[in-house]
Amino acid sequence: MARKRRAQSGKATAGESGTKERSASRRYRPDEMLDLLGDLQHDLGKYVRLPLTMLPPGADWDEVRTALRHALLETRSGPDGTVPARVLWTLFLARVGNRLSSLPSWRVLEAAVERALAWESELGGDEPLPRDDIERDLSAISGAIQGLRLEVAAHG
Amino acid sequence: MGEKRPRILVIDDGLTYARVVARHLPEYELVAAGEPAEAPRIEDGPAALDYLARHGRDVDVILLDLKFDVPQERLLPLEEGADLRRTRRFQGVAILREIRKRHPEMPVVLLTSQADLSLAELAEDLASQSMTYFLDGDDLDSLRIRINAAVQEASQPVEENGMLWGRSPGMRAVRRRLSVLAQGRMPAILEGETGTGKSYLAQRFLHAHSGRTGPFVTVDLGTVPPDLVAAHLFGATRGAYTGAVADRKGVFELADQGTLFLDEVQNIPLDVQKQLLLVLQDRRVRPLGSSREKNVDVKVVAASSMPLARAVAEGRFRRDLYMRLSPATRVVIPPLRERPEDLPFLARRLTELAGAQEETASLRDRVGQAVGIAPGTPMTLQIESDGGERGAGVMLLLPTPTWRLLAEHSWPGNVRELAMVLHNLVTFTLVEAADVLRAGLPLKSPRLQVDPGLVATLLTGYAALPDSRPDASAGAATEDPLRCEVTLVAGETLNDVSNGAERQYFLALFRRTKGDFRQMARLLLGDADRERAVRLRFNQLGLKVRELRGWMSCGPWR
Repeated sequence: MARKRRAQSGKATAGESGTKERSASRRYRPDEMLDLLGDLQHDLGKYVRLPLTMLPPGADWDEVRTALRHALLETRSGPDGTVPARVLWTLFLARVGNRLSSLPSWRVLEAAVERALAWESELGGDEPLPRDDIERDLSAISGAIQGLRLEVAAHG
Repeated sequence: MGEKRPRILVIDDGLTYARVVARHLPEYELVAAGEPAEAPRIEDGPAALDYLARHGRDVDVILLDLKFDVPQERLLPLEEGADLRRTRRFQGVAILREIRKRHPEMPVVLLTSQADLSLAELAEDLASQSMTYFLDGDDLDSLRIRINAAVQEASQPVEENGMLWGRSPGMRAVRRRLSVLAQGRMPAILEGETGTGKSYLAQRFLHAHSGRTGPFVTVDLGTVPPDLVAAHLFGATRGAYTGAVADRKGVFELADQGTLFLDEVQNIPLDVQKQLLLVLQDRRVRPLGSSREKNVDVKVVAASSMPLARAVAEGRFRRDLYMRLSPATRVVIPPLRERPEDLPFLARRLTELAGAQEETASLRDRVGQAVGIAPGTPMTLQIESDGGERGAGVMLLLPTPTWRLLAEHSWPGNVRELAMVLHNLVTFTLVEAADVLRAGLPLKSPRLQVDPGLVATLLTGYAALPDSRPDASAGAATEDPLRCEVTLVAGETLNDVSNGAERQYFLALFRRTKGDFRQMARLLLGDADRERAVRLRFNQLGLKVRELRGWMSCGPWR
């Protein structure tokens, strides 16, 4: 019973590393999380990446900047207009809460999103943009989501 | 004026792909449907179906997204019990199903990678669809390549001027290659087992599409006595050899400005091969016994029922002549047993053709008139378990066990053998029906059931013949269904060779396991649970699981 209570409270004693992981898995319904992560993969992971990866090899920096704008500010389009990547991420956070925050992959995803969104600050400038770096950072979100999905599935 | 650009319809609630096509793929035209004007697309299924109903002919390929975040009233139903979230997530599947019902030949590229579908049981449903393609990468080249492949494949006819191509990737590749080789004067090498249609393709496709004004001349070098081959090819003057009582033109001269088809070219004696090489190089022939050379402009198509490279390796064919014929122009016609998905189509068309031949058409019409069918109405073939292909004419009905006999046959004589078997089935079945009428008995139905015993007898008769296949001598190739043949040819990429071998292997594996993907995964990967990986590889190789299964469902393996 004591062990169950500890798990429910999210706390674990030293030497119970396995229990710590299991406790995290009990804070959410894996199916629900996988659904949410599936949507995030499509809405954010895929569409934040595509405008850059779909550029032709010789695209000039102006095209890169336009693609970056589409990627970050017009990430998803729908009947209610366009939705920026930052809003998609905020909506996801609101749905998930802190239920996944104890998983190691969660940190990886948070860091990837942070790095990608940081490129917003470059949208207003007129300097050439480092396409490879941007593409790497925007593409990292998709990989991080996939990593988290696998971890959720494994713990489920 | 430039060539007309293939037209793309984007069905996507988002703008990304329409923007990409509009900005970066100028070789395609976005059809003017929906908003915004600079990147038009249609945002939901009902609107797309409505557009296709009115303008379907203006669309060459569809790019279709999978997930649609649109209001519920603009969603097509996915499946019974699917909640709103699932219906949105897989809305592309629902749209695709409707498109397939209404426009079965429309090529559709799904704008999602197979990895995105890894958790969806719907992946198999999508992967097995004809004319349905996954976008495998997320770069511009992947998109361009996939769209181009879809457009190219869709534009290839299943049947064309009497040529029965079928839908198998192997025959589609043959047609693409021949289309290129038909241009210009360069020679071509056709390799394939007996009965695969090498001569027919040379005349009806290569020559017909060459634009050459001269005749098509064919010579079967397997039937010309070796000591007469030179005279036959290059001509001879009177008295050049014993029996040459008059000047005679060779086939090169006869084929001037046209096409010369050298069948069984591996049979040319080595000494004549040297002369042939010179003719191909200099484009001049000197008849035997003559001191004068004549200019000739001939497109040479050389055919062989064995790989010429092997004849070279065995010292029976000159390497320099082989190189002159250019191995890069080699086309291998796949045997019928390697394209089982084409068998139902071929059987149907060959039945119709057999029923239209002079000696059978009168029988067909006599039988048809007895059941109220107008003379001249084509015969049809119905494969019982297939359920399709109902026609207005006299119908040959193949019950499932009878079709199995045909399906499990290895067809060593290939399409020619299939045509002969069907011709015999048509004739025998019509004669039996006519006998019933002659005896004063009524025929109540235009459906004439084929006698399974007759099919077995016909196939046994062919099976008793010596196998002409190049690898059949030891019997190993036919006895081991997982044996593949790989021939390395200049001009083919390693990927081409690898995919060809892999395709053969997967087909054989499909047969051996009776289409059981878990068993295939266990055999290939040591883990039955990895069946999805095998399914996806089938799709990447162009093996349409639904078609194979459809054929197999009435085949011998189930």
